[in-house]
Amino acid sequence: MKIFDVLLMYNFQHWFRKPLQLIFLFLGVSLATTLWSSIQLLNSEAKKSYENAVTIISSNQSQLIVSVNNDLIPFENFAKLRRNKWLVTPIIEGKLPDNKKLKIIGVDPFTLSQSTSFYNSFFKTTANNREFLINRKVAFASSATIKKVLGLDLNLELIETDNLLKDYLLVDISIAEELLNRKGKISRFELTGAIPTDTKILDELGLEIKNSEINSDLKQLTKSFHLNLTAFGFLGFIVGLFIVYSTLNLSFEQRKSSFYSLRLMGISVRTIFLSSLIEIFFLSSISGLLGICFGHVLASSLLPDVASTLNNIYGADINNQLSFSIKEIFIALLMPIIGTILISTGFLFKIYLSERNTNYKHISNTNFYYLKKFTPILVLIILLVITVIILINPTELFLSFVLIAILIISSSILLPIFLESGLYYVNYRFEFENPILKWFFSDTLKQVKRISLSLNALMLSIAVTIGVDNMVKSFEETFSIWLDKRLITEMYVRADSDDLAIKISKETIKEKNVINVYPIIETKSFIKDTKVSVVGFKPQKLYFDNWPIISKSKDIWEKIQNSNGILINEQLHYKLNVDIGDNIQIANPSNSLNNFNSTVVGIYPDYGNSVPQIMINLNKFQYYYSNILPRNFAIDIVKGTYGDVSELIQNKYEISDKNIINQATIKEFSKNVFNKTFTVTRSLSDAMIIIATLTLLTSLISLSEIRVINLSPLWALGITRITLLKIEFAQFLLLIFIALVFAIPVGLILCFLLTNYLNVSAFGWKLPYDFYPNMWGKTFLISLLCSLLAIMLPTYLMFKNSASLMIKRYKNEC
Amino acid sequence: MIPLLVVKNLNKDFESSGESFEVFKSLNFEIYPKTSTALLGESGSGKTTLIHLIAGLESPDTGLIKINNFEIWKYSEQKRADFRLHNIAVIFQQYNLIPSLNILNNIKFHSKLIKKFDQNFHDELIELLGLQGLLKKYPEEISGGQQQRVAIARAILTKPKILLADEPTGNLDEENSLIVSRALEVLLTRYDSTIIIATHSENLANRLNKKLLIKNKKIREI
Repeated sequence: MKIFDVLLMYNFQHWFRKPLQLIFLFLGVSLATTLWSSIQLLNSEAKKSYENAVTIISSNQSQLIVSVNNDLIPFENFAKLRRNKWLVTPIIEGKLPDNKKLKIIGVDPFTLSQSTSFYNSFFKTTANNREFLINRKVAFASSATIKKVLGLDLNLELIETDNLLKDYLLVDISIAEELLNRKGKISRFELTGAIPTDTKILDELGLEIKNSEINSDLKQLTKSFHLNLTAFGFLGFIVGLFIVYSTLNLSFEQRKSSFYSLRLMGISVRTIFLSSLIEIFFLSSISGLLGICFGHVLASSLLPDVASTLNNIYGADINNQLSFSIKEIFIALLMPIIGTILISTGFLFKIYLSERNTNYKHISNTNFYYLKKFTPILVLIILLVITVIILINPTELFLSFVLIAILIISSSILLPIFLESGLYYVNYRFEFENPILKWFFSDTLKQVKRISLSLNALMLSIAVTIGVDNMVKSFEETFSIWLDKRLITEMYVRADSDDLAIKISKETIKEKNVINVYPIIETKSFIKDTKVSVVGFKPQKLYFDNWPIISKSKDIWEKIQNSNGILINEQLHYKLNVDIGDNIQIANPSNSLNNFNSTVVGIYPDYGNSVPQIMINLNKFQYYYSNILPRNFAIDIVKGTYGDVSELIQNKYEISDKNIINQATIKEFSKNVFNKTFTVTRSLSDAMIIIATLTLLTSLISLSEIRVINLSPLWALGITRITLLKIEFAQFLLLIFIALVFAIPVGLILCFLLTNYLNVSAFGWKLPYDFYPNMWGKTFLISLLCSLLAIMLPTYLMFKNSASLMIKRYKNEC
Repeated sequence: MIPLLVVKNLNKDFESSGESFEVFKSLNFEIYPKTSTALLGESGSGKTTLIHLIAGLESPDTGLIKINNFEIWKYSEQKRADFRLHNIAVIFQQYNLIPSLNILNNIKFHSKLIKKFDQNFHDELIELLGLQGLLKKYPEEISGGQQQRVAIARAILTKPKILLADEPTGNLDEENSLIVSRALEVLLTRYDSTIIIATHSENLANRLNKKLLIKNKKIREI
């Protein structure tokens, strides 16, 4: 057997002799990997779905023709467009009436251009193409969807494809018409050729060209959501690795003298270094693989909430089933392996350096003394400089995350410094006469070094929980108030046609219990090449009294009434750096001669909306976008008459119930979306507390053997084990208490960064933030309770085994 | 004269790797107050174990250990610890200093704990054992021999009724061993303590009143 093999065997034997350490190492790596890989799985699944969505909704870089009012388009328009040399292909999309989960997409194989992704994905092979052309009763679907469709008796020949999301069925346009009961009505056209110079026909038909930016939009819109998840996953990964660090630290400490002996025997330092590296690689691979399996389970359980959040907020369809390739497993495995090797760098470095200097103690006490002492201060100074630079221009989302990372790193550096300085002060400021008290504080000072990583893990998890909870609570309250103000009337009605819209706007006002009718109209436009939504409204008292405003100029409503000003939402204010008093030019996409300038007179909060928006007087809107009639109406009614008015409008104006909605339903829906949005965040912050508690537990158990030896001199003098354990308990409690107190301001700073920087760069709104001491107190108490549980087991184990361990020590057996 | 330490029919077995080893079989001996006794024997004969049994750190299987009429293994851990704290001082082979306290506080610790701290005696011992330059250092910063002298100073400063020492000069040179012997003599003559020392050193043993040899699980005076 070669020396290397023997050495490797010796390394692994250590873990078998210390099974608890092996369990903790596995626990740490697999926990860290579980969190990280589950987040990566969720993000990757969402990404796949966004990419698939392009295939479903439209081809890459294509342009769509849609109805200005988002209505269905009469089929005759297809012929009119073709006659006017518009190369378009019709598409029908909708949910199956009997099975709302199944989405039908109907395409016309004859006019579908070969350049579209539809064609490339489904009809590229001649067999498929011919089959679709000849046999119109062919449908494409994923294997999961096929299983569902089989039971529906649709009388279609099903072809399996991987290019469609679950619950989507691609059929011939005529089949789609039948299935959706939409004879002669299509959803949109896709342009398959160049845009003709004459675009008049579009205005005549009430159509507009829309760039297909779904892919980039979805990716952009959901970027912050995924970054948020990634940040949480990464933080969980780091906290999980703290467990690994304390275990590896102990294992290397225990083998330090053996390495020294091996060196004296003549085994090269490179051989020792390499064998240790392979040992770490092997252990981290196995435990990492385990973590990936757990990560899959965790991601599967979180996926429905994530999918629902993404669907509710961004309208993104996410597959409800996770897929995982071998390649992805290997990539996911790199993280725990690299992470574990990185945290072992210190120990491995010491082994490597021992070639030049075989005395480890000497190395740690001299070569690294100044480095160790001043590195944290140097890092803090560097971080401070970076923070100042970022704060000068903190608009980028990435920079907001950097700010949060800086807060986390600097608070991790500061906590041990804070604890050590405080205890040092107590130790040297007060000359305790009682020797136990003197020892208590001196020893607690030493304990800080031993468990600083666990304390940091605990502090960070609590800080993150407090910060996130405080932000969510602030947002929840702000959102609730905002919602009350924003939903100005009790009833909202939508007309399906212009005729009906005219009828509603003229006649509803005369109905019993109707106080006033406020038409609302919206179209898309551009400001400085940024897509904005333009809303036209009728500025009246109800708006003056209720509409939420963050910042305004004098006589704001007077100016709006006189069409001398516009309101902009917060998103536009931050995105284009536009403020009160600024004059901006709003483009008119259908007629560039109709571009107009206006002065910003107010900024309003617009939570939940990702698009920059402006609000202008309805008269002004109709002047510039005259071809559009308002089809949405906010109807102010006498309180408690919703049922009667709703019934009357439905009957008299033949409006379906889905086009009438009351304020309470919108509020409930919005609040549900709100709660769903933070479900994953809350779950992750709870998981962080659990991991931090585990970190504390494992590091205390790992240290308990060494700790018994440290306490044995006092026991030998005549201090009982129970007294020592009470002292030990008090020490941990004191340190944990200080760490938790320290977590509160860190959490509040985090909340400040989230509300003032991250939210602004990610969503475009700045949240007012409040303080919720009761909530912090609850988190504080829960974490204190968790910590108490975490310190009870190691102290009990110490109490149980201490006598024999202490005796062993005096016999030089350990 | 009434003996200070009475050991009667003491039996002690050890379990190691599933096997049982008999260390002492019906051990009987007495030690009188204000005397010094050397415990001699080969390595592994049980000298350290006997020190631990007398100190109440390790329990016998059967038998009686009585110190100053206090039957040490008859009482609870609390009472045993309290008795040890106020009556016994042990000097361990592994020095047993408290790592988080500096040398000065290590020396003072036990005597302050039982409120027997004597500043003059403290100063005298520091000088006698040559510890002046070490007082602000921590145990990990000084050598094994220096740690041993610190442990001896701490034990002697408590003026115990009985001092149990396990190889107290094991890591010391001749000169320092002599200094330690002098310190122990001070304790014996000035403070009427009883001293039991487990040692391999013939020189140290020769300076004591009595020699007990542990051999073949038994003890006898030589």
